[in-house]
Amino acid sequence: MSGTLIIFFKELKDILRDRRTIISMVLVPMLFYPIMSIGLGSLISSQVEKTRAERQPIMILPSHAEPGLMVSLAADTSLRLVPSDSILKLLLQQAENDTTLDKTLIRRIFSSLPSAIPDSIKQPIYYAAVAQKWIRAVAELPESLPSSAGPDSVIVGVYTDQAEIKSDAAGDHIRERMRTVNDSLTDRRLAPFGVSQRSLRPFWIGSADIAPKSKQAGRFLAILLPYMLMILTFTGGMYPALDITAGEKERNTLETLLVAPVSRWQIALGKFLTVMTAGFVTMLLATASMTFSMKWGAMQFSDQGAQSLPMGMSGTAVGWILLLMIPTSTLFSSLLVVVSISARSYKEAQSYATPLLMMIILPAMVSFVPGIELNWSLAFVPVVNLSLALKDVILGVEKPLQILLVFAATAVYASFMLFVTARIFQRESVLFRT
Amino acid sequence: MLKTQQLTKHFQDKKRGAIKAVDGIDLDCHSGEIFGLLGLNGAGKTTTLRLLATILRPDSGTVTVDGADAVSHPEKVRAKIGFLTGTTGLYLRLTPREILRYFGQLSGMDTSSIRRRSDDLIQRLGMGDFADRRVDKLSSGQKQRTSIARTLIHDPPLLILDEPTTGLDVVTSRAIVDFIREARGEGKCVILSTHIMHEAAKLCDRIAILHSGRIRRMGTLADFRAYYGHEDLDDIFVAAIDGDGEPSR
Repeated sequence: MSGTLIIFFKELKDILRDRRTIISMVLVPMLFYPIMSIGLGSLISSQVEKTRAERQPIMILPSHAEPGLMVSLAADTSLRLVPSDSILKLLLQQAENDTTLDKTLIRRIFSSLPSAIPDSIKQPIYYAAVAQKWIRAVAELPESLPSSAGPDSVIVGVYTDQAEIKSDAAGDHIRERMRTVNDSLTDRRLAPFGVSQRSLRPFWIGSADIAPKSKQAGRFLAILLPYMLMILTFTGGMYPALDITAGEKERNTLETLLVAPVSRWQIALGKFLTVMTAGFVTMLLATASMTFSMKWGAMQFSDQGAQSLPMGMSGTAVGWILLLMIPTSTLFSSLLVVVSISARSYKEAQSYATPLLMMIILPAMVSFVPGIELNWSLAFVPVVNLSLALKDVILGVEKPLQILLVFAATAVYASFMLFVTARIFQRESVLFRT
Repeated sequence: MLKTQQLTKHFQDKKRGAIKAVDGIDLDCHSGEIFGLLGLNGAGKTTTLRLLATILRPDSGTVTVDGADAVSHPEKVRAKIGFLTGTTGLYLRLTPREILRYFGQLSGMDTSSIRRRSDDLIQRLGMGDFADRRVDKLSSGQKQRTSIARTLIHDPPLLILDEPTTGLDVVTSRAIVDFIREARGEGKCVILSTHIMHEAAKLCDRIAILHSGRIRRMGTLADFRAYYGHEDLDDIFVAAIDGDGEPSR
């Protein structure tokens, strides 16, 4: 067995016995995504269900609003009407301690027609009642409905705190109920003329997604996955890199290795291969776990099952991804080895690795930006090119030449960094920095 | 066994510029001999030993081990060297047996010779109880014995030991002293650096007094006593570094 492989297998055994490596390489990627998508997903959906089932308290203003509308809101089983008198009382009590609430204004809103009062005056008062959770929404109704629509149309105002899920739900229920009443009133008025609302509309607007199935499936993954693939490859290799270079210096074992009859480049290559393997395995485990938990999560929590949020990727896409990830992990692993062997201690290496991670995160995020596409010049920009090429590959866009160029450019950068890695292990000033 | 000629090494210091850590050292050490490098901290002992062990490359001069040149054939030279320092560490997550296997493999030994040699060293150094326990669970004495076994796994004819007893308790440093004597008994050449005078006096067949990167005086303890007219090695050492190697009287 060559010196490189002896070192590689020993380092692999060594890091696999390190709890930190197991956590960052196996546990985090394997557990994080299922917990995030299944755990968080089920929590969110159960909260939404719970909110839907609850009756939300609302207040109607003015107290003498149009009776038909009031009755229809009162009949809604998801709403509970709170008498405006009791809210008025509570607000006046609140105003005793809260100087921002003006009693005169409160009385004015409750006694007159609130639609005539400017929003800037009434909104803070409505908000005070909603913030105290006495009610979840305010419905401002007209006193009567006009006999003809057009310029005489009246407005039904719905006031909610959209940052609060319950307030938002109450608003939805009010709007839905009012829309139904509005439609049936309209139909009733049209009936004598023998026409329906439907026959009044000259056209309907239709829309269809013409993207091929593979592209539809990859849309969500295409945004997130390029970024995740790169960050995981980097972070998966980070702890092993620190441990087997700066850690080896700190534990005073480096000298024993340097006196062993193997060349410095074999040592460098053995360590590099270990870091690369750790990064690659992390990336594979995380991608598998992410794809699985998204599929599972989609099946559990979407109304139409997994079909509505397909997460599949074609075999060709997977092939391209693996091909691109080879020079990528070579580049990242050699960068990590170079940076951490240059440090005096594990701690110092950590402080170098963190900004390096930032330097990868930022350009990797380009996949999040809509509109930026891979072109002949961006194909040469490190990390940015990979992020865009991976996005294209997942979407199934046919640009094989540009993607091959990204592969070639990354391979050139990676080879250069690998050369630097081999060279740096020859430098006494780096190996014996104290 | 080991020869150096005009061995020289500089270091760059940001404040002080170029520093000559080792300045034209000539050594000739033989098999079955314990050769001591005696000097103050910073005299150049560690740098000299690192040059001999091929960890550092000399700026000028030569090192040859058993006829092989350390600069042109470093791997050939390394195969003949066992290197140990007082601060040498071990891989904490491996067991002593795994460490012996690793360094045996790196030295190009085959599986059966590694097993035979490991079993022999484990038995000789009394490591049977802990040979399969992880190093981070071992006592400092057990770790030191593991380090000795690691140094000897490939049965090197040349041992380079840099302050091997530094920071060790009496019992553990006695184990090291015994190991050094045994190595000489087996016909190995041992090069030992120390700043502890009585250790050098007790162990070394020949001593070189190193100061500011240069050898001030080289010879047996008897030679030194006759030359400087002192009985005590401490007095001899002070005379040697004060008087530019010349007798103080």
